[in-house]
Amino acid sequence: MNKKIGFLIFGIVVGALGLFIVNKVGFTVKERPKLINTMLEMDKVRGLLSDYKTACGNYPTSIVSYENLSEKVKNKNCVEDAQKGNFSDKWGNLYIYKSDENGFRLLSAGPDWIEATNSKETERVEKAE
Amino acid sequence: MSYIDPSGFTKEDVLRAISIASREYSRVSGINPTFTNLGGDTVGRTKFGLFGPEMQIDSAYLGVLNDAQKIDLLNTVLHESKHYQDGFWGNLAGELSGGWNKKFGDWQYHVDIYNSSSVLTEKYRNEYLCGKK
Repeated sequence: MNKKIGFLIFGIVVGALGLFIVNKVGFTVKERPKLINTMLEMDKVRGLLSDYKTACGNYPTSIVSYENLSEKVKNKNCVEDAQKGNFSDKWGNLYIYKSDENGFRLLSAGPDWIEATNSKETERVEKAE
Repeated sequence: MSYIDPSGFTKEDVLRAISIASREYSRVSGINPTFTNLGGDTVGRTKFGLFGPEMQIDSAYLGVLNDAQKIDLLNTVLHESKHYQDGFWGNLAGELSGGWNKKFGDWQYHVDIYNSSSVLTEKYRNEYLCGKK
């Protein structure tokens, strides 16, 4: 009899503790909107640059904006823009874009403008004014 | 009218975003998100507690927002609305079935939500900013 009451009390305590934790902590996922949205945008831009190369035979020398590049690819417009772009990542910093006949490099330096060159070494990226 | 921010603009922005999100995610229809200081890079959160889900929006959005901030807010609300719609088990099942995406350092299910909320943000951008369909 005492054993049964012991199990009952144990069950109630564990259940109450579980409910408390679920209610207090909840089920939440770690949100990293700027990082992941920037990575997703860069993926889309890489796809657009590849389409641009197919349509125009070369990569653009600069990117004005995502919408501008998207329109150019859609309309197969290969005319380079005279205006300087303001193509920024989700932290509001300009993307780093370089291209030549062999390929392109598209980088976001992240919030702190430090480019991780490998796991142990980091390099500060020069911020264009 | 009783809004959290003195001018009331943010709450109105959030409720308009919820109204748009409810067309895609019926469960969020009429919900009232709370403003909380979430800290760090976190701008939104959906908590699944004992008394049902709760959508939380970062208090950094309080105040009068410019167009870029409004679009960011719409994106956040659409993202959290998907979590809200799927519920506790839907989120759990989504994460487990989609697996871990090493490149993004997150669950594939979660990366997909970022992607879909980005697409939906573009879909509703003009309507949200101009208040027209």
